Amino acid sequence: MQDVILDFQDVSYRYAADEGETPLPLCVRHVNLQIERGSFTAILGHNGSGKSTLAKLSNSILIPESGRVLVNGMDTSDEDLAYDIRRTVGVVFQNPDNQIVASIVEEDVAFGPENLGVEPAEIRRRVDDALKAVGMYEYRGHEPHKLSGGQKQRVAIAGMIAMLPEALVLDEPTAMLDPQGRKEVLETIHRLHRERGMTVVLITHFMEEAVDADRVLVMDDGSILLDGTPDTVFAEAETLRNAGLELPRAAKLATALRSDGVPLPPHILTSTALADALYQLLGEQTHADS
Amino acid sequence: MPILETRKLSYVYGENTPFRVQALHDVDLSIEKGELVGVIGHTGSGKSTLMQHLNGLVKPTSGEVLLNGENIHASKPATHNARFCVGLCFQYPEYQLFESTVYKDIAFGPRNMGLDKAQVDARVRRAASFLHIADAWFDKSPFDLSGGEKRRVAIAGVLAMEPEVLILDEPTAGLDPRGRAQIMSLIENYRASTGGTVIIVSHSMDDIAETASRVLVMDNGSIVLGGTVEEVFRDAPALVRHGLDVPQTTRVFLELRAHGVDVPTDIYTEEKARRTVLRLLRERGVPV
Amino acid sequence: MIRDITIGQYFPGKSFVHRLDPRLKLVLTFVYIVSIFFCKNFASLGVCVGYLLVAVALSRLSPKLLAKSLKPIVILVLLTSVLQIFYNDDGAVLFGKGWYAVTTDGVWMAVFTTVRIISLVLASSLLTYTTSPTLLTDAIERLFSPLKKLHVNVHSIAMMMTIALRFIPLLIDEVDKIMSAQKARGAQLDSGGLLKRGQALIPVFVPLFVNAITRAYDLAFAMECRCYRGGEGRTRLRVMRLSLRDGAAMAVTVLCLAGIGVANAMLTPLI
Repeated sequence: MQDVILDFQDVSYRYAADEGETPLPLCVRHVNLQIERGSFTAILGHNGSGKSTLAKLSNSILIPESGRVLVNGMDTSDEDLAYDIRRTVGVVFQNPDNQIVASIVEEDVAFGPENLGVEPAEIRRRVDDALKAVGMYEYRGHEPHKLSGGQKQRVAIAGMIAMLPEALVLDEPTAMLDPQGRKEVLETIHRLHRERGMTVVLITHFMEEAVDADRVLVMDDGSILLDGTPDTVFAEAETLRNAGLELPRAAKLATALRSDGVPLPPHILTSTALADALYQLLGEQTHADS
Repeated sequence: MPILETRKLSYVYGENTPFRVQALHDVDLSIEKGELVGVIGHTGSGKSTLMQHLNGLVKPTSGEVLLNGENIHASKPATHNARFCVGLCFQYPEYQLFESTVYKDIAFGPRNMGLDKAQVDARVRRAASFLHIADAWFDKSPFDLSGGEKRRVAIAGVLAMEPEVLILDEPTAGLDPRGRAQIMSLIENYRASTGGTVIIVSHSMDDIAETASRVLVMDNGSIVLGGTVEEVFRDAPALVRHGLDVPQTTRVFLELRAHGVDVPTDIYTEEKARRTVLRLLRERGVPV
Repeated sequence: MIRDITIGQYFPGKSFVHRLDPRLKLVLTFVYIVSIFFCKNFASLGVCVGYLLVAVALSRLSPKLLAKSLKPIVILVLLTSVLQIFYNDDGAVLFGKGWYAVTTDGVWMAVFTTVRIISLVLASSLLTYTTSPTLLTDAIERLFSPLKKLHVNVHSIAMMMTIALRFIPLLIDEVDKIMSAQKARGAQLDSGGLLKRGQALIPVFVPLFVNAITRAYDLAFAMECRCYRGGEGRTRLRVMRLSLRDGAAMAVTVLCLAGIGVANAMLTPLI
């Protein structure tokens, strides 16, 4: 049996309507999803597809209306387990400003371990380690509001790392960042996955960010529409478009070229892959000529 | 005569303090009527500060801003006029919504212009139709709308002043692909049907490459590159030097060139990329 | 400009004063302020002033910087001085007569009060200039923790202060941004009468509050994700322990307090 860290079993959820109003429709519909330990999963979907709700369901911030969510076998509906669950699955949100509590970087990173009652010497060790892991150690004495968006988001990630979670769920962590910040945050997430074996669930609407994942899920209208490797998911251009998403630009260009009759291999998702494939085509011909 | 022009525009803040920053250095800018100009630059390059000079919100330390040839700081009425003639829509404009209904919020700008009720009404409806805001929304609270819908209402609020130049600072920031595409196509429709002048500030090269007729690149408070989209993208390595990402499409050709293939690098649209690849393959005798 | 507002101004450093335990600094400042009011003549006040001057010297802050903190109280000082001068009719008349006679006692009292007010403000400035707001909040939480027994939720109050410190710069930026955005739509924010100006601020305050509420929700979620559950069972990154340095500061303070007592007893009181 595979080692599942996060297990959604037929999960449905709806937000409460204002009093006297008709109930809102389900925002997550009968989702079945198992996240394997140590894997890197990207969840794509347009705004309102239910993907952000999934993040809050994963660490008992929200409790399913029906079905259940298990974190290392712990049921998120069991209130007594809430803190054990939250230290196992760390959730990072979109707006970095709204998740930083303290006005000094290292004190903010210490916030989680402090809440867990960790000994001061151990907190210090964890804070230093977490800040080094996200490349923000030199900024430990800085004020968060003077940092760039990408730096703030890395501090927020460090705040989670300091609680020693086994999985990170990141809810559109790059949506509010500039290209530089986006790059910093993605590199950090990938490094944590690679070097620490961190289980990562990256929720995003930037297609390019999903290209390097082990597994890509596409959500639409609260359900999982597609589930597979990036290669298989991005082969479904039509389904993606109907779900309000696009192919990564390079994949889109490759698809267009194929329809023009260019004999490109399947599964081209990045500009590098496309350039290599084109080079091969051009190169073969050049060699044949000489 | 350009509709909007800056001459040796400089702006310094924190003068005489240790925190002195020169945000703009002798910026010369000239926008012709009917153009769609893209201004790109990384965060802190001075692009947002420059935009706040164009409608007179910030007064330059030295140099001048000319609107239809007239210095916008020459007189109080001229400054007042510039606010309305150059409509500036800030980044994340949905955070400025405040009225109880969508209609009232869009009407805020025109009402401040001192127009009568009928004129305000006409402008609100025109602006709303450009942004596909249905009449049914008019009585709704703007706070009940979705993120993308709020964004459209906020842009309509600026458009309702019927400015001669519309400036949009990062109009698609934070939106999903569907929302991004929608905003860009609405802006293009607006321009096509009115011939209005538009400036779009962005760090997303992919957005600007497909729509702008001219691109200005800002770095360190100056305009460092400028010209047609082709001209600016011809020197893709320079864009990288100025801290910018090149469009994914352009990157394919940059990488081919790194492989030693002689390809042009001023390619930024899918259309042009397809044509170039097909031409290349045919030249080399690949049957396509 | 709204950005010029600075709250809890702090100038980082590594001086003797900077490195004192923040709890002790808070207590010493309090003791100092109280003792100023116990000074009855220039001799005891002199002890206080001397103590403050030594502290300023040890803080390595530029006197200019500290002098700046006196700016907001100039009018208060002038007003009280004038009142003192005219209120006191004892002593030799310098000039004038009747109720507006200026007497030597009046002048001395004015000087005395002025020195008192200035010392008071300088002492509190010295505290905030040399102690980061976070440390200060922390010190308050720890000093007042005995109040828990009286069912005062000291932790919650300190947490609120921490969050306020974190979000005030953010909100100031936001006010700036919203004001610019509304001005770009032709809002007149800085002209007209009081009522008109008040109304003109609605387009600024409504979005500000709406955004603040969104932030509050987001922050609450984020804090829950980080296992926040109030002060119960919470440990702290920073350990506060009194050092030799703090002992020295305490000893000097006790000596000065004794000095004030002696001076008050030996010499004729001014008041």
